[in-house]
Amino acid sequence: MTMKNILLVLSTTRQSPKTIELALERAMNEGARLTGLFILDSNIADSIFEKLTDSGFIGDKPSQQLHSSILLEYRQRGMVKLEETKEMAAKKGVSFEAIIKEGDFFNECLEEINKSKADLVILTRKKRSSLSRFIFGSYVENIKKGVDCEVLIVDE
Amino acid sequence: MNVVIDRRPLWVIILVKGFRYLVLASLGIATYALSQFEPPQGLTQEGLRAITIFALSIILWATHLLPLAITSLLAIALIALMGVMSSQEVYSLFGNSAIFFIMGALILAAGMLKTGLSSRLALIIITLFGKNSRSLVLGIFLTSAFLSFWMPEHAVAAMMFPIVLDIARGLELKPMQSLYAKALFIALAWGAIIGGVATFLGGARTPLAIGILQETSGKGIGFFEWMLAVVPIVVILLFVAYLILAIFFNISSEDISRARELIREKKIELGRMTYAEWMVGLIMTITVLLWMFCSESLGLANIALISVVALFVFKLVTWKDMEEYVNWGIILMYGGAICLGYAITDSGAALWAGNIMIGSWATSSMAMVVIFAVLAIVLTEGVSNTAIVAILLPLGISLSDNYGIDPKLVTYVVAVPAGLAFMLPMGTPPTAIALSSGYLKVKDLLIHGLILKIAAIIIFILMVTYYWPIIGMKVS
Repeated sequence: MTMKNILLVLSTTRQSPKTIELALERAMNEGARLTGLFILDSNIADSIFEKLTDSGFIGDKPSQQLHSSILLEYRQRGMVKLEETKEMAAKKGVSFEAIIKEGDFFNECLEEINKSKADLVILTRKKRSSLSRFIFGSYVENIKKGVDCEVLIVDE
Repeated sequence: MNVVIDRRPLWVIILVKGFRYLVLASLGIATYALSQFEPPQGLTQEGLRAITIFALSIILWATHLLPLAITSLLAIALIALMGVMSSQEVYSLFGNSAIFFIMGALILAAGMLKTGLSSRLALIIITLFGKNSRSLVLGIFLTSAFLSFWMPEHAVAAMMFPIVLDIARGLELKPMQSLYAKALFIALAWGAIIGGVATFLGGARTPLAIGILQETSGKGIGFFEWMLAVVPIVVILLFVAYLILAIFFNISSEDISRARELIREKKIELGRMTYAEWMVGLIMTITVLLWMFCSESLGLANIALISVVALFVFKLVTWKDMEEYVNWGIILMYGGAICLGYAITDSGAALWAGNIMIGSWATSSMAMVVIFAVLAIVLTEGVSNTAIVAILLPLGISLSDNYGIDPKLVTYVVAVPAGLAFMLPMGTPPTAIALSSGYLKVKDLLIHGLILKIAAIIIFILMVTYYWPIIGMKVS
């Protein structure tokens, strides 16, 4: 019998401790292998970059330097978060692998789900109104509908 | 590649995707329809058209349905197409000396950034102050403020950001939790914002205001004259802002030895001051001195352009650097704003609109000053500060005659508060930059920014009442 794969998806804006705790519990109870995917949401840095260019009239080079600084900071925070999760996993005796990716949350998430052949995906859903979700859609909901495996959504 | 399947109802998708076009089309139709109406009493047909273009520009500047610079271009074209002014008149306004001054100032700032002179200055000042945790915050605050006297505030914030980020990271401060980290980033933003109003160089909104003043009233304000009126206000504001940081954030208990080490390492990395840095520093110093003491005889824009030529003569920068460091959209934004300001003033629309919107509230000249200052400082939180100058200043200058106020004074009253956006990221880039660090919440800026904002408006009005008359600037 093969070991179950659980994919815990975290990102720059989706990293609730509740989700991490739940993923570790499930992995421990089911004797599963846990993969922690941290997505550096480039859309956030891009939107700041656009704002500074269009409204702030900051030149390309300073904007790009700022963009890189922000992404570097997000990367380091992602690494810290994954390191913390790894330590927690070790305490619970859970096998843990960490992955950091940069890009669009939806695309990167789908790609990794398909690549890792995860049996269970655990995601955090940001706090938003139902109306906002209805009008602007929800990446997390779309991921749930777009994959074959079980998806567990944890509200922030 | 993944295919994104939008699972929302079709009507929602059409509405969301088409909303922007729908609003733009409605605005276009409304602008055309309004401009065809019979003008109300006291307003000419040209005035009515100018005011509809003005209203359209305000909506587009505030909503960002189009980039700011593109809205300005639209305003220019509409002014000519709708017959408010002839094409020749409209496009000749684009050659205003304020625009060339802005261009020169931006290229000089690019020279400071490119050679690394600005980073070196920042590290020197921070080192001077960064002896303990309290003075490190003060150092970052004063460095941002001082550099914003001589460079655009957003360029200062962008340049300082990685330094402050390294300090916060080096001190292992917890994002969103550490009060000290919050104080560091707020100091960076507020310092740049407050310093940015001190001279013509901190934000191009001031040269824009001077350009509108020149085109609409024929008057001008000198570099030193501006500093004399505004620097004391800036000094008091800096003091109050630092007090707010000291009172509300725990800035005295952090061990900053790691930060001092980091700053020292950064200084070593920079190495010795290069030829290019010395030369840019020299050119900048001479330029500022000429702006301060010879701008009346030589002209601000002429001094700026000659200094730019000097940068190229000594091969301190290349044109490629200019393309990388200067956002030329700003020139379009300001050219359009000056054209619009002239069109609504010249057509009498600004006076008409000012009388209707503000005239009934402003029962005295002081009341008018207070109303404009409060409007500018409040609106600047939601709308770009340059747009606020473009919107309010033509109205203020048109009304100034009725209240016996010098249009120059109105220029200060609009341009200075318009630069003081402390609370929200929409008004000015330094707050957006500070927020992007992830160490701050919007709430942090909102609450403490409001306190500083209230203090700022009180300080500004007190200075207008008690300090400005001493230097010969009386409200009436």
